[in-house]
Amino acid sequence: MKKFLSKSIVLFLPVLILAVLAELVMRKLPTDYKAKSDYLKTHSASTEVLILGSSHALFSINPQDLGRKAYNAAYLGQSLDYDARILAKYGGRMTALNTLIVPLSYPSMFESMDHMSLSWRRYNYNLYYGLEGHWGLADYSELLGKDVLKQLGSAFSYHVLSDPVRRTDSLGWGLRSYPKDLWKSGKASAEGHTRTLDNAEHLERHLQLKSDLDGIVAWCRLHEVNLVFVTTPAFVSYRQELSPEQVELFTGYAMEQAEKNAQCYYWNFMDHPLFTESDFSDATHLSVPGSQKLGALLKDSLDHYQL
Amino acid sequence: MLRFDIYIRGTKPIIMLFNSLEFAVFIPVVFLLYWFVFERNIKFQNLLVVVASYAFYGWWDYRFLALLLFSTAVDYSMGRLLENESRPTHRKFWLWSSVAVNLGFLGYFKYYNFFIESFVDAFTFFGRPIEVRSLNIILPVGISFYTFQTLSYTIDVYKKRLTPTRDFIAFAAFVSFFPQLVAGPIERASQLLPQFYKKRVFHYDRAVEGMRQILWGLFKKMVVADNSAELANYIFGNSDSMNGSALLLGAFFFTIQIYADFSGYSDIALGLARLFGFRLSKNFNFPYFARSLPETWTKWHISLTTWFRDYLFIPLAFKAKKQPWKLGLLMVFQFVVIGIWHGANWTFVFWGLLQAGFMMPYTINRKRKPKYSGPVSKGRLFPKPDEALHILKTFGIVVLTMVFFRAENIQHGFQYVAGVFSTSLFAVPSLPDLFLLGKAAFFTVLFLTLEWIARHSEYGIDFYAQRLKPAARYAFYYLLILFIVLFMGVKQDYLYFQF
Repeated sequence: MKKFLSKSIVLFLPVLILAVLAELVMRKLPTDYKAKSDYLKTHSASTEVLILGSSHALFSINPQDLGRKAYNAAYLGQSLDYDARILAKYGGRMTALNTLIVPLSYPSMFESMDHMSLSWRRYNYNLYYGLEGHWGLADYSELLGKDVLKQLGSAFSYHVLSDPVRRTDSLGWGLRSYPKDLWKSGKASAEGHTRTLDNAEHLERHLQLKSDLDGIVAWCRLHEVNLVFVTTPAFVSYRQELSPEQVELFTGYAMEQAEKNAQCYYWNFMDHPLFTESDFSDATHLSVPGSQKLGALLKDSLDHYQL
Repeated sequence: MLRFDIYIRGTKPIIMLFNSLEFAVFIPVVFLLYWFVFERNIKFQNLLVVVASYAFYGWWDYRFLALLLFSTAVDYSMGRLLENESRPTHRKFWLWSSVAVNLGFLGYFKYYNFFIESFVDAFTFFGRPIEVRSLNIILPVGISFYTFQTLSYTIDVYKKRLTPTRDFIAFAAFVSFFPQLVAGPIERASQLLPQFYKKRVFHYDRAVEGMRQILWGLFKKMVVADNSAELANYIFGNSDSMNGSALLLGAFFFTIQIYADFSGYSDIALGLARLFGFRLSKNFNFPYFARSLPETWTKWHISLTTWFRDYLFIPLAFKAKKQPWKLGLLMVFQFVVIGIWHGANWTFVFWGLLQAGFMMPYTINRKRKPKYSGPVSKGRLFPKPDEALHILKTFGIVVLTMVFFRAENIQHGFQYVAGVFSTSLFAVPSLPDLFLLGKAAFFTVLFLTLEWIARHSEYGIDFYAQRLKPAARYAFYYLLILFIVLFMGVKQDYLYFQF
């Protein structure tokens, strides 16, 4: 037995030492998750406008354009259930918070990050944001949280090539989106985002996300914070492929809340005529000029309603 | 208000997978307790196995521990009742009670919604739509495996092939033994239960062999299966926009995935059992090198196929008195049952029918034997051309039928196969991620090559461990560990957990 244990230790010790060293290197990387969670921890008291949501908000809404002390806490694949958890964790300390912007788009009420191809990102919400949830041991580690090769690649780029790991600016706005063919990406994205309530799994997820949204609405009402649901622009190749029933689900929900609550608004820019082909980097994400246009529209609306 | 509890629903339940960090902590703790604290008393050792196994299972969903305990108690009691009963009708009653309880649970949890929905569809088809609500039932992980394991105990006791146990703890350990609880191998009581009566002695060589088999299983699962799964999932998920060659690759990689996934799990299970001084049955014997479909079925999921052979086919074949058409029907019945054992979906039934169809010539014509039997290409590095053709033909059939195993429904399966045999079969595959294809292809070729060379040994790397010198052997182990750490695919649940 002693021989077995000592040989096992000899075999695994180098692997363990390397793993611990790699973990330490990864933890030192200035990632977007680290920056965003740090901002929420240190600037919560001064933030007036908080933007939540996924990549649609990350690349489309530049807080600087809003003319207020705003911060973009959206990130890739961040679904409504994670938005709700961020609000639950940090909302209480945001004493200056006046307006919460929650983007609602076609897949919002069906997609949870836990069930997406991006689900590997969820460990960041434990490791850096410290959100409540069912976390596995791997969710406490950078090394085990995602693809080790990619992690090592990021470390190499940062330390050797001096390439910044962060892809967001100091106010959380997404600096780089990846241009794609607008027509192809529109059709493919719409197909990938289409869900039906006839499917038991989709229905269950929809009901869960709806209850998370209800939680966000209730929180805003309780804390007297203005809640703005925003649907960001989408290119025609995407819009024309959408299921009207699924569109009605999120637009209907947002309109109903806006009618019921004086402090709730719904601004739908999905097919706004101002946005042309050059304003998109792909069918559902705005380019820099597009985000400037949206920023101006949002600022006008915020000013108009004195939010 | 936002509360903590609303978030619990949205997150994935954490199953303690063999390739999880939770299990990497769990197993050394149990191992050290087993050999250092409880090693003097076999009863305590067995009790530790039960507690560890229940903790392992309860990690997923503690509510189903009651089901496992109930199933254990029922079969233990039936064994005792059968022991004290000599009247045939009463013995039969106790046997059928056990069968009814076990299959009743299985039927409820696994097949209730399937049958209800099939009835509704059938009535609707004949113009008489009915409304019956399906239930939101969670399928207990591994229920098909432990149900069949406990059933074999009661049947063997009834047939007087096995003396019923009076040791409830040993029996509970046999039913819940964590290395094979959720995905087999389905052990016979006559093989595993006696091992719980004997004092286990730690053997260095067996423990090393166990570690080696675990390492090989992890490589198969995390590198080969999970990388193939990413590709197969993408292709099956977008099959309507894929060309023929891409669809063929999808079917191929799913075939690799299911084998590497399930046999990888079995390797880990066998290796873990060895660490604790147990020996489990071999579940796979290099099935993709078989030269005929009957041979494949002697090498694939052996514990299940032999279960059906011994408890279903042979008893019924005896009644069929070797009449070819009756044996043919029996073959169809057996494969349909094997198909539906895998899941409550018509795709599995159809997959079973396809298997039966390909096996039929060998069943109804007893003179027709597969051309090859015995070890594959014994004493040769490469097979003879004719033998190689038979291997490729058999593998082709397996790949083709696996399409229906993986398809969403039968229609999807047919569309998929039609897509494969289109003019675009010889076009460049329409895949967006060539890196993923390259990765999956590289590890598949490496895996199949290593398995081919080692095909006459107990399991994949056993062959190399026996022949390589220590330095080369350690280098080989580190290479596998490196592959696992650097190239593991996106973590996927073990496919057979859903069965």
